[in-house]
Amino acid sequence: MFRYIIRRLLQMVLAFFGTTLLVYWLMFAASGDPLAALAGEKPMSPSVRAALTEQFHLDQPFIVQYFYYMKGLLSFDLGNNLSNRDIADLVLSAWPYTLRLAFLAFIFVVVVGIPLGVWVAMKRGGVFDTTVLLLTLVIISIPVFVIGSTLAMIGSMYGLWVTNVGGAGTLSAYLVPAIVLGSLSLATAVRLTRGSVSENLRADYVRTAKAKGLKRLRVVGVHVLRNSLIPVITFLGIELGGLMGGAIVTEKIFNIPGIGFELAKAINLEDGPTVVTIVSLLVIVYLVMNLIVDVLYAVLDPRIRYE
Amino acid sequence: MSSDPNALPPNDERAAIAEGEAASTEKRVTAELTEVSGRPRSLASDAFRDLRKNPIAIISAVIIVILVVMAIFPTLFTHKDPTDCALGRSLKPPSSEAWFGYNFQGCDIYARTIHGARASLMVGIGSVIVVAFIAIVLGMLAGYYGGLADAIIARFTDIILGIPLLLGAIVILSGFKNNSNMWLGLLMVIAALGLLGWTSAMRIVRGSVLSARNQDYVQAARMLGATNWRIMTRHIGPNAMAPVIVVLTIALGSFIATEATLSFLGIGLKPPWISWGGDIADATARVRNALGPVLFPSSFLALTVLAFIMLGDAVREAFDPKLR
Amino acid sequence: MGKHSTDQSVIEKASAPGPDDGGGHLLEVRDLFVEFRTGEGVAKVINGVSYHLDAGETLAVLGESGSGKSVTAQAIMGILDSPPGFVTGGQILYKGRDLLTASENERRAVRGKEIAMIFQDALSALNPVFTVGWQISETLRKREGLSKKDALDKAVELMDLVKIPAARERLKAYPHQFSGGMRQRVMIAMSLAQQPKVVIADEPTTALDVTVQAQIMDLLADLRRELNTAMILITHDLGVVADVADRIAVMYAGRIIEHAEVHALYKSPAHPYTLGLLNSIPRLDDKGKTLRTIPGLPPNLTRIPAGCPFNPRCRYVRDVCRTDVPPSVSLGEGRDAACHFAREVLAGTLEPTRKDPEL
Repeated sequence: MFRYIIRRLLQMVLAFFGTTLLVYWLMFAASGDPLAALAGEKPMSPSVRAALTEQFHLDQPFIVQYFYYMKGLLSFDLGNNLSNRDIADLVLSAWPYTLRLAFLAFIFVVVVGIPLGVWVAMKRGGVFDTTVLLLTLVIISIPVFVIGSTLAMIGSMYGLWVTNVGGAGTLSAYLVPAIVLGSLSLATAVRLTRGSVSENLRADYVRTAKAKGLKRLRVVGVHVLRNSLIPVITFLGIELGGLMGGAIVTEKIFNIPGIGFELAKAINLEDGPTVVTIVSLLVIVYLVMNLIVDVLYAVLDPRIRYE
Repeated sequence: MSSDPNALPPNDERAAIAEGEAASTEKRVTAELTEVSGRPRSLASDAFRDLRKNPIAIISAVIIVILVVMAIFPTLFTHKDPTDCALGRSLKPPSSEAWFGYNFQGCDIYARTIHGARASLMVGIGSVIVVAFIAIVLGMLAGYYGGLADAIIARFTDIILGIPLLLGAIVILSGFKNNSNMWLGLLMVIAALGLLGWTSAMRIVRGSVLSARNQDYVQAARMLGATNWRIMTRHIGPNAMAPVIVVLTIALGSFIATEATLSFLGIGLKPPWISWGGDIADATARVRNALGPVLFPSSFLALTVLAFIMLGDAVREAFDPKLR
Repeated sequence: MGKHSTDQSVIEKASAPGPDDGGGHLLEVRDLFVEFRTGEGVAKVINGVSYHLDAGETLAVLGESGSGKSVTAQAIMGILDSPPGFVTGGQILYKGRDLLTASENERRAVRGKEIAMIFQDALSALNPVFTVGWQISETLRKREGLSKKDALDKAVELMDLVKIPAARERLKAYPHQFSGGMRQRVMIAMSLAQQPKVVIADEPTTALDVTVQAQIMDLLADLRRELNTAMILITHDLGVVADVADRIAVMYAGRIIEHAEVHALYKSPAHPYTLGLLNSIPRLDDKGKTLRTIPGLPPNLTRIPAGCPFNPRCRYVRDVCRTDVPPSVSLGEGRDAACHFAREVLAGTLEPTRKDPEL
């Protein structure tokens, strides 16, 4: 397992620098005029221009700029945004909201998605199975912002649930946003669990377990589930990383002042430094989740652990 | 356990009758042999026959055809000008005049929804062409040559996979947002989605090529001295086609959804493009008590994405022998 | 459970050898019918199979793939995949009790504890994500109520019994870390955990190297002697059964076509199919001669030929073989064969009607 983890770690370091380099390049160099990319079309005072040039080392060669930028990111020295606020402050104050939303969505996906997936796998081919499958396809097809906008509109028209969560908000206010955020992951989790369980139900070791005289509940609940959940758990791990980044739309619709909300705001205000920093941070979160998932995969599957 | 009277005992006459007279044993044995070894009925024709019987596939295909016609000839569906807006009729409810009513700006929602199909389909098809090109080239290189080429492509794929599609598109598009040329704007959206969205399609191509490459008939062709190019285009390509078409069809749907999301966030397509995502954003930003301006473009958007994803899913099922 | 016709009972009685055919066997399969209902049609996989097993003895069930030998075993265990498999007639008596009419709980009580099964491919038949110690001791913990530690101690004993070296250290190993032969030993240890009276070994050596095959067969023979367990050995390999089995039942197209004491069958088969099988075993003194294989393939079970199912491949085929299904004929000394000309085949006096296919 050690060698496996080391190898994945090295691959991730490579992917990490590649990804951040690519993001950085797309943000600054690819557009030709980094200052314009950072500050948009608004007229720029010479002092802002000078400050940005210094902050992003724009007078240096590209690779040196990138080096400084990475150094800043890794030491959480994120610099200031265009309105001179410390971006690290901004991220730290926004983070808890995003975490709350993402975890609630994640719990929703796990608690509903896995049991539902297992259930339809056992009733494979039946009316219930077909209905659930079709429903998951429909959910996958409707973009999150459509589900969110519609639910927000219905909620505010009939006063059914909180649609403007704002800064305060109890946990219950996050319920509908979490369902919106988790809907796509939920549908995918159901389909994945169903596929994995029904494949494992046909495996030879299931027959062996039956022949040992074990109860059906144990055969499915222990033997089949332990095998089928390996791909599901790895999917969920990556989804957790994605949920944090994917909250842009949901946070914007329900006015939750999390990371995604700040990102959406920065996009509208054409605040380049904030956009690039937040995106880089989210990419890092995503990559770290990927690594955790890889390690988890090795822990769950002995065939990989001992390769 | 049923007490089935039809359970045939070995000497039942019906078995013999059903079998017909077993006159020529020789012929019989040969028949059995072809039964087992032969059966040249191809998977593709089987799958196609399955598809034509699958109502979901038919409905999806019909929706897609209608959408394509709508995108090319929107005036077949509406004579209204989608940009003819007058604040005086802001938020007027549906009528025989305007089937879906008017939005906040006083534009005909029906006309805008019909005209919105063009942008969505152009982005979807454009990005899928980019994706297909990258995926097929890289996937074939990685799968066919393996070794170093495979390793380099795998690492490169890791890098792209590290960027979630929406976030990556935000970065690319926010860096390029200062242009006012509508075609350049469209191209940028297509490029952003295409350049970031090819990873899963590439893996499918690589996997198919890898498995096709190890098939006996490909090995045989190689032994006979066929060139790599010929093996790839004649032998491997056709076999890798089905799963690639499936993943591209589904990707087309998801690209349309992502474009709408980007436009909703204000960095996708900008006016004068009429985009469902942009219209939905306008509708939700301005009003919170009129469903129409949100509902109609949303339904069209969802239906479009659904049609592509369902078609892809139906094709996959038809081609997957395990699911038969 | 359908009552079968008197006609079939007669056949069944005739095919049950030994003095006590009124029952009293440890395990008895009576006139079993199984079919697979698939999109391609109904495959009649088992068509009236009867055999029995007494305490401590070994019955070899021999046949090509698709002859229904494994399906019969799965029907006995009650682990037939259903759908597509359905038992449509017959009885499976264990200690006189019909398992097919028993409740699921009663059947489960028999599974593993009374009748255990050893599967063909141990790599796929063992659960890949649990340690072998865990898997061997699972039923001891869950069904015998042993503590975790006692169950693991027992697992070590079982692994010693099947001669897995360094058993205690290997408790925590996973199936993929074992060699094919060792995995099959784990499988055997697992099947013995609950001290079953009957072990069904479904092609236990097919997936193994030839040298390892012999070791596993020796192990099975030793264990049977030591533990006095009755065994049904399912195989397609005539070579492996001679030293282990007491009796052989040969299956073809879902029927038992010949049943005899093992040495009697080797000496003089009473069915052309068995004869063909014996002739197809390579012998050292046959050097330089062409191996005589049975021409053709087993029948498609959705369209079993009329008459004797073996007639399209039989060297001795006569007109009657193409129209009438041969009943099982008792030939004395507990042997019987389902051939119209069983006595002639046994005596070696039947003339072939077809030439050998020459290579």
